[in-house]
Amino acid sequence: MTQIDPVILLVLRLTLAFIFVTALAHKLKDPRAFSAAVAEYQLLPSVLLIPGTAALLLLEVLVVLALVLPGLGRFGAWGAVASLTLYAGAMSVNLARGRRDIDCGCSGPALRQQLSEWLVLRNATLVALAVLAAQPTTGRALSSWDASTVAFGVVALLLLYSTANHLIVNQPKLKALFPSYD
Amino acid sequence: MIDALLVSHVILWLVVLALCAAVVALVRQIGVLHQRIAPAGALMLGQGPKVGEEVPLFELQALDGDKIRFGGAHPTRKSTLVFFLSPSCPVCKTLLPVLRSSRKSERKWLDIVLASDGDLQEQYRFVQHHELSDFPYVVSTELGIAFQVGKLPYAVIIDDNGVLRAKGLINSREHLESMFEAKERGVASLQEYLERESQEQNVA
Repeated sequence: MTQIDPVILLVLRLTLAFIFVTALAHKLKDPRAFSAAVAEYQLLPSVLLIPGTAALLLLEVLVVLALVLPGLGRFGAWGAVASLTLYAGAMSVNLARGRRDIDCGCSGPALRQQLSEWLVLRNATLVALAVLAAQPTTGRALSSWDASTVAFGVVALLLLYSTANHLIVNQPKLKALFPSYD
Repeated sequence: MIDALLVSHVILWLVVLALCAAVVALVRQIGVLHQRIAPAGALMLGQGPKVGEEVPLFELQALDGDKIRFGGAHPTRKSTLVFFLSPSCPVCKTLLPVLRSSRKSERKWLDIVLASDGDLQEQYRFVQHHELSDFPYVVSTELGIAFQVGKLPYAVIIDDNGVLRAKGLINSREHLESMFEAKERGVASLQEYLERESQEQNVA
């Protein structure tokens, strides 16, 4: 396995942790909406809906904790790979079924995102970053200069992530402007 | 040398962050613009009874047992909005709050009737789940066929004389309001209104 500079690992892990925390905050604020979103995917039988939703939330909580705790970062990153792959898979199944109109459920009811290939691509990109974040460190000692790189890097990546999300939300609205081209 | 690098490092990062923030702001603005520009009015599909024609008479039984009449003169001189929806249509669900608020705000001149089609049990569950028992709710395949409803959510406005005043595909609050506006101004649709405006300007 290739060893990776600790600055890159830190940037990736903290970025993933922030992304999961914000998504999780929306889901925990309105767990019923999240379980409704899970139900819309029509993958779980209704008896498993509540335990399934709880398991997903628990997995995300563990991922966030592991990502930020020293020594557990690698496990957190693999956990992120698992949950992001799971969501991407669930989206792909519903896209294949032609159920595009359902809400992604990614970040709560406030920011509704229709299912699209772009969301799958977004998750795939995050999975690739998480796999990178799960690699072992070279163990280089960090200096104060590295701290600024980490801080700026995390903020920049989060802003880019937000841009990507807004673009994905905008896309169906743009399409709605030209209904005849459907 | 190291100092110079450190300074340039920090400045470069600050510039990158400023640019990222600008991109996020721009993308958000684009989103708002899309939403603002989009509703040019409810899309009229060229099928079914024409605006200005009398609608065929219908007497249907609502889910709660009440008799609902469409067409002909309205007993209390009110117009009727028939909103076609289905329990399996996600956009319809997002419009339910809009219907509720319209029912209140337009109460003086408008009755709102929900119309659906398909399995009765499912309709009962839908009404219960979304607390729609305040609305008259009719289930009728014939009604949908009479108005040639192809896509949902769809709505028609019938005035107090049983004449069709507006019809169209409804995807947002603006679409629904455009129909109220169309009825008030006596035009078939907002598209027609804009066309008439531009023609009048040409003549002048």
